[in-house]
Amino acid sequence: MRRLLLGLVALTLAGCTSGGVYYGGGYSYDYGFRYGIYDAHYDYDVDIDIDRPDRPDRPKPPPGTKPNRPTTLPAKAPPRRPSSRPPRRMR
Amino acid sequence: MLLRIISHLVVAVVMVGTMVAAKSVLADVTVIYETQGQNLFRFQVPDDWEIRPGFEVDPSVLEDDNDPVARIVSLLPQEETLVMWTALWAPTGVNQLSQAKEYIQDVAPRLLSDVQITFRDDRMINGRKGRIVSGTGIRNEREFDFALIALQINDNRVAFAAFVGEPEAYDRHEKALIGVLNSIEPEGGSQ
Repeated sequence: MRRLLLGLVALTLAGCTSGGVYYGGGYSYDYGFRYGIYDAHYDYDVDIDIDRPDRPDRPKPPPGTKPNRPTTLPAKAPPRRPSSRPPRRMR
Repeated sequence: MLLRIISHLVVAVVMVGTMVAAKSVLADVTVIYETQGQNLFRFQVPDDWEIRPGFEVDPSVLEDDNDPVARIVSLLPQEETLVMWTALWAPTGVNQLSQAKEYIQDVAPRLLSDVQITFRDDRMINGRKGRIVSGTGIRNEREFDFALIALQINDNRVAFAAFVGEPEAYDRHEKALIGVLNSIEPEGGSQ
């Protein structure tokens, strides 16, 4: 219930601060990225997956999130189509 | 409980209004990051960027957790149509830079899927120890660049800055993004 509440508050704020309307750029992503960080916060140092049985009230994961995903990066990233762009280096 | 939440919502909306109003008269906006009654750090934001201060929930309203979520401040260029998201926050439970690696590994897959890290570096950022991790990932079937930066802002707290967005957005705003990062300075203490 707590997590659902936080999600609703975040969504409400996202709507309030953009005049209630989502529009271009990163605005439409603000809630989703915030939610991702909240999700990590509550699972920090806890090795669980989305279907954790003792959190039956946990809200559904954001779209695109796979069930039973690892909580840490795999040692080797899964293969996908190669990017045409060179790796970026922070300056 | 409901009244407390409503009061937090009102405060957050008022803060947004104040910040937006301030932007019209300031060249760069100074934002002081405050969470759980502590001013932790400050940073500069370009005046044409929108600042969303996020929210906090009073720990007393949490039923089974004494570890409240940290405020997440997100920054968005007002006129930008490309997808980009920038945020700063200082999570509870990450006190030392040595803990940042695990935290970043935990956060990255929740921001993007199919994360591929292409660059890691430990370096001094504005005189403080920092760690940079960047790479690519997928969100909504689109490939985005990301960068997560951890910064030791005082002896017992690590702040994080994140960029996620289209590569062209990073290129367009690189100077401003680096400016935000380099402007981070620790604050003293309680309000």
